[in-house]
Amino acid sequence: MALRTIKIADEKKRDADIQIEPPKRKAGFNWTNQLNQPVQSERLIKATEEQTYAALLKKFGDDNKLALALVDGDPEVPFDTAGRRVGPSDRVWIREDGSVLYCARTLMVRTDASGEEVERSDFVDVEATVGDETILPWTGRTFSRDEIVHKFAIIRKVRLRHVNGLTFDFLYEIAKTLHEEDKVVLMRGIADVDGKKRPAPLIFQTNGSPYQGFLEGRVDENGFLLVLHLSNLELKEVQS
Amino acid sequence: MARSIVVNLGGKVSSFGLSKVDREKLYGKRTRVVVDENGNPCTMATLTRDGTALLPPGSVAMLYMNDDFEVCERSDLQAVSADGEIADEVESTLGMEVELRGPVPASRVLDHLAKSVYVLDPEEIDATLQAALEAGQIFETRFNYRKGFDENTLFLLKNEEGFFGIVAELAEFEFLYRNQAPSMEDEDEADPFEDDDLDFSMF
Repeated sequence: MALRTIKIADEKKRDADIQIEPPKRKAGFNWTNQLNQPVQSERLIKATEEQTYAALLKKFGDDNKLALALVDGDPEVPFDTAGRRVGPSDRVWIREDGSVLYCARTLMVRTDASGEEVERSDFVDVEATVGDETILPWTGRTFSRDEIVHKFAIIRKVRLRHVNGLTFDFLYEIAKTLHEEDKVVLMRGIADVDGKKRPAPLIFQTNGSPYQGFLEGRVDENGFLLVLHLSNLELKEVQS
Repeated sequence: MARSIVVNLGGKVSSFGLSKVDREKLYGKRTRVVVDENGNPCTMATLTRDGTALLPPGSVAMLYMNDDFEVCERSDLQAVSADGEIADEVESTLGMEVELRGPVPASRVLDHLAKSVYVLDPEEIDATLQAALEAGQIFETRFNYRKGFDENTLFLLKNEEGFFGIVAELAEFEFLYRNQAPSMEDEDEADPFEDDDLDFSMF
């Protein structure tokens, strides 16, 4: 993955371009069968759009005729493609009748906690609030680590890393400040709302998930660690 | 019968019923819906790159196969670690008494990433543990919802909303130093925000 570059400001309102990176993924397992032969997960074709229930019903006319056809033969199996690896493919949208959509209209549908639809409107892109064009400001709102872990589930995190000696010093100072205060600082993005700049949740790409971000800093004699902890889930009981 | 988280702290046993904290049930949801020219919702399908097969949902089977195209049943799979050792399956910890460790510092929780969160209903709770949790202390134990090859950590804590169990996996970073070479791009490493989708529920 290409490391992302973002702009971030410190408490003196100086900003710098730095990079973010995710944690290394844990080494996964390989799989074998009982004979210790390696096995791989494969995606195989079972059927195509011509073997769906709707397509077969249309082909045979009614359920009785379809049932007879299923007894007499195998119309639900495409013998020329069944069992083939899916291989390289693209995603397409299809209508209820199985035909491909060439021009799609996208809606935003909002449902409340009970699952009831409360809003439906044309979808409007939501721009990222974190990136190399917008500066993440220093909010100065600090919290103890205990407060954060008792209120939020941290579901993602990225490490902030320097790109040169100057940005090493810049990030080291931020980490040192947080380390000495023994606090994490709330990070918020800036969004353009009706022409005005407003604080906004952290969104890392257009239409991406918004997160609450908390920056944690640790230092040792010569090094630093700055981790941006991200949450989109509060520790709350679901109301039934 | 629903199974419980059963923990032992200093010889005293406590047990908790659990129910998953679901974002949709907590906040509702915003989703993108693609409709056709008549406003009818559409579904996503797969079109093979050679154009010979259009695959609606449910048209693809996931199988494990060896190099000879022989299928291996899921129950016959063996997990092999990176060093070539066959991994032992770990039993579910639900209903099984497991040792509770702690209290642990909040930084220990921050070294992990949450995979799921449960609201816990204390069925039987030792007074010492209850007092410690009410004082804001955090404890940890091992957790496996179902039998499998991975074992996770469960952090047990309490806030004003109730008792919670955070199932998490370790995701630590190392310190950075001045003369450290810049990080190399890793083609195998997925973009952490690649799967992000619109959802402003919490905000």
